[in-house]
Amino acid sequence: MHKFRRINCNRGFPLATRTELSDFLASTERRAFKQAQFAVRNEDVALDIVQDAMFKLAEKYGDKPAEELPMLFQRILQNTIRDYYRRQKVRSLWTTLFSSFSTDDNEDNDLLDTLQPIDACSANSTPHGHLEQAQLLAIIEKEVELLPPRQREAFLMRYWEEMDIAETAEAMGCTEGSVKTHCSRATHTLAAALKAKGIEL
Amino acid sequence: MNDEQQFAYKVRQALNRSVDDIDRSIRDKLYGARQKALSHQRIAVAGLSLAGVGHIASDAMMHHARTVAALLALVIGASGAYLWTSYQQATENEEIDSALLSDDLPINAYLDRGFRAWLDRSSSSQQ
Repeated sequence: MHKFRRINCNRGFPLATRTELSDFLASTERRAFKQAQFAVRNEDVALDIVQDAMFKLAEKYGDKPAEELPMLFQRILQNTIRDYYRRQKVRSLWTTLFSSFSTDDNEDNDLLDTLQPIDACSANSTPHGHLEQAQLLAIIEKEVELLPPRQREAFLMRYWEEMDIAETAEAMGCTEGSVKTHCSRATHTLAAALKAKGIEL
Repeated sequence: MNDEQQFAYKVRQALNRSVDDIDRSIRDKLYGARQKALSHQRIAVAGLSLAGVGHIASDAMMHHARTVAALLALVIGASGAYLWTSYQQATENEEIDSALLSDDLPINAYLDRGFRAWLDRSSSSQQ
């Protein structure tokens, strides 16, 4: 490890060492997973996306200065999510094409099947504080999930990843002005949505 | 703005709490993904060559070597072409110079406009 550090010093830049990259990824991977989950709403896909983004960061930018890592990682993460959306669009085009030829065999679906888990949930809901807390968290997460993608990106980068406006703009590939707009719109939408559910933060 | 930041701070706290609630299985998978990514870190490749894993480093160097070789070939080609044309021009000039110097006429005669006009006239009258 000392060897790596010496190489970095020789070049005159505080480049990310293996431990620094490791620490950075460890500190950010769960939030990244949540971000991906908000965007794609699927646990396995979100995991794949985070893994992809980590891999790309390490492979392509592993030798960048440590302070550039958050911005680079966010940019890669958002691009990976966008790539997934794009692939998904192509795939859904094909599935709709093919499904128009196949017969729909979902007719015997019972509505009660889908309702039952919700009943079970409400039966279990005893008025414990931490359960209420969990429900509150779930509502907040749901509302974050429902934000328009760009607004969510900007909001999470600014306020969750604690990146400054310039970094967020660079990661999102837009101007600082539109980052501010996205952020304030996201905040207003979130606040209004939570208020509508009787939650005031 | 202050309200916005305060609200955002509270959302942030809520999100941080939800991060703590992530399943153990997902945490393990994320850990695995991180380790896998770290094993492919770019700086690690350069570092490993010091530790003796030669072929990875040589692959990386080969990549650069190709670019360097291409640039070198380009530079050599360009300077070679330049030298060759200037050499050819020098031999041409040499012939003209020696012809001029060995001629009976003084060089200034060629610069004289009247002499050139007389040359043209006399050559056309010969034909």
